[in-house]
Amino acid sequence: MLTREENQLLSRVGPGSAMGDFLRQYWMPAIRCAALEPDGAPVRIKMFGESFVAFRTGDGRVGFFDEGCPHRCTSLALARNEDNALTCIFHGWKIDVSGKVVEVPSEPPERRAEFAAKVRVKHYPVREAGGAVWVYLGKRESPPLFYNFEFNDLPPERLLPMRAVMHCNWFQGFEAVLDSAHVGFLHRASMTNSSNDNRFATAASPVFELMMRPCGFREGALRDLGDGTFYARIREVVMPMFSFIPMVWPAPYLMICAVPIDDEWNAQWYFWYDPDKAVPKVPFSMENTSGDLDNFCSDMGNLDNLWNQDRRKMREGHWSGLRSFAYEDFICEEAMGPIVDRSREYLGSSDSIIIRVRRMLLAALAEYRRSGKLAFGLDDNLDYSRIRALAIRYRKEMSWREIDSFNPPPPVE
Amino acid sequence: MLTKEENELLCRVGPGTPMGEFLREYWVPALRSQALVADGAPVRVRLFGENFIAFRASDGRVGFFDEGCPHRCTSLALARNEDNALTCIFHGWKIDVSGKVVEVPSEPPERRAEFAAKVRVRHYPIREGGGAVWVYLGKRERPPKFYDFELNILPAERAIGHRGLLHCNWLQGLEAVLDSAHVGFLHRAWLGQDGSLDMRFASAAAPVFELLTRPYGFREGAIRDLGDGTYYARIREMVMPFYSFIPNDAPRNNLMICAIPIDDEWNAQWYFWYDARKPLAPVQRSMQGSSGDPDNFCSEMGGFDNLWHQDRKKMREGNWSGLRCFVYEDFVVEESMGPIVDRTTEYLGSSDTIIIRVRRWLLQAVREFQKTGRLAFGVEQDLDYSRIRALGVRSRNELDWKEIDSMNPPAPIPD
Repeated sequence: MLTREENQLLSRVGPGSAMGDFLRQYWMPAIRCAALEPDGAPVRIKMFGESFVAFRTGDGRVGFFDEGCPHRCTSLALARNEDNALTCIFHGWKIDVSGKVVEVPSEPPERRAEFAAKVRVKHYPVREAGGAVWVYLGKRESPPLFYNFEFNDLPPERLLPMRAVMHCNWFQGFEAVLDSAHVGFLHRASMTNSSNDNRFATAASPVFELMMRPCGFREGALRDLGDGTFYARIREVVMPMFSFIPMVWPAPYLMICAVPIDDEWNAQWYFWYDPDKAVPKVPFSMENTSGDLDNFCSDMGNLDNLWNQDRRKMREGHWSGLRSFAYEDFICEEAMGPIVDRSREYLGSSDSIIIRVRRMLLAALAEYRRSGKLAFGLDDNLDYSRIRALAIRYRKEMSWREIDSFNPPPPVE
Repeated sequence: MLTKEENELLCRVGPGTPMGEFLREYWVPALRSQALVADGAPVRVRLFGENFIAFRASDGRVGFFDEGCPHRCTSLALARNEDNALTCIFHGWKIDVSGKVVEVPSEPPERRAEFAAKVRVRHYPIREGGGAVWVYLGKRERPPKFYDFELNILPAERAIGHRGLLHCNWLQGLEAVLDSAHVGFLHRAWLGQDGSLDMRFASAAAPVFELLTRPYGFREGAIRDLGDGTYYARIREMVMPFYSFIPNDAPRNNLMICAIPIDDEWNAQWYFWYDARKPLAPVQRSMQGSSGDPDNFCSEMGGFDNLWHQDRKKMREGNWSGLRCFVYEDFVVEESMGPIVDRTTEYLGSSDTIIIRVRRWLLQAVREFQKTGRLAFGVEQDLDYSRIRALGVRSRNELDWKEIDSMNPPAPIPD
């Protein structure tokens, strides 16, 4: 439970908001690399309540600008993309991929060079990694070190990044991902008859343990299987938004994050990856999603049609009546409303992670506002390459804290 | 570039706003005359953030009321239209075309006459001209003189008005029309196609702008030196705060454009074509490819969701904008700025001089109106608007564009 003020502080991310200013200091994914074609249409992107355009030049570089032309704010999504620059169709102003205005043909010839030099285009640093274009929207002269996640440079067939556009605040997205306890309930229909196993369902209330890390934390959701073994779902969270989710082998690995679009919308990214082999076209939990990699929940429905929930299927034994594993998560988040009122909750012990993360974020935000210091090791040159999640059954004698996700103990028979 | 406060002052036009109150004092076109059929369905009209209905009575007169029935606000768009009156379907209240309540059958018979006499219907003066119904929504007892524009006094077959509904603030509409500098860029694909709006724009894209202020607004020359002892002038007439007379090369029809506020985030853009000397030319080139619905000729233009159907393949093949019609090019750039553009982040250049001046005039005029109630732009001076006409003309350098009479232009110069 939060106060109304705390809830506003966590949820509001538009220009000038405290949380927006803070989160903008962190690199985040904006669009799939494949969505940008060389010399192709620029793509509109909304993040933190502001509108941008991204485009790929003929030589393959990516430009990321404020959406409005600096002249009179016509959308640069309509601009011509050629010659490693965008040219606004309204008056022919041309801005090269680095954000420099190189032509202002609507001005008298003798003034053009001087005038163009004065015009500033708001442009942003980008990196391409994991099949997505990442952007730094913060205020620093030089952005923080880019995350060297394990998946960054994998070949395309070992990567499958996809995005879902959801009608709820980013923090609802984040909290749903953090919440390990819902798996045995919400996703029950998928647990009993799939490649995943049913150990979730038999011990629905796990014990949670936390190991703090400079970048966030490592969390074990531990279920006592009653036979001298434990089942652990070991998650890694790189604050403020990146969750490495444990999947049961041989599923590919998964990183999820909920990136703010504005106060009432977020983009939920699923980065599927496998360091050793190709990722399946439809990984576990993605069955029956829309297939549009830029919005894989495009046909999920909404409050008007109650997300197409099927009551007949429910009577016949299906738990949620919803048509896909991933949609089950998304729908619970959207069903709370665009910005959930957290002053009205009853939180239990299975919500301890959510409570801690809220505290961490509020503390980080307070520190940032006080001193400008960024939490979660952002300025400490951390190594992110050995971060990986793991789901594993192990003998009681062992501690989950000692398990190295890159060299896990052999499976228990 | 404007401050946030100035931008708000210019853009907000709803009930009670300074700009809304000010602009309501000027006659504006509301809907096409032909959209109203005698004894036909009343038509809903939204202007300045309020809803109205217009209808044509049995005898041809036009009534223009607030939308809601004075009784309990049921929409009078649902009303019966007969007997030179509207009758609300809810309780049978009947309001004649002059706005007088003539029957209140839901009241006891003995009280009806007295009761009806007390009910006021907000109704508004109208005029018909240029194929449109114009309305005065201001507060004065007697409206200002109706514009005797050429197009308003011509016989019906010599003038038509079509309307496009745009998802952006009225000032974005006005500014796009004022902006002469975009023609050589945005409309490049169309230049030279019929030999009239020719490549001179493209070859000298940055014109010099000169202004002659007038009691009603200004006359503006966009002058392009053709380098052969001649120049090309686009002479526009601007009747503030709305009416732009746009230069078209002969032999095409004359054109007047205006952007009328629907509410803060929508405007109705009217295109009036007229020709004093001959019947109207058929479909205007600039309209080819538009939806053809005269009450909303951009009805299928698209929006942000589909980026207005911009065709990147056509662009790669050389088409400049990839948009499907001349007039949509204007509309699309306006809408793409967002419903109310943030004018605090612009970089204006010398080609934006007119836009800067018009904003200043408007700010001045609205502040003056707030202070003194006086109306700018000669609306109280009984001006003669009938000799206002725009012109696109090539002239020898010896002749100053300011001396050119648009009603009697110089003879064409052979190429």
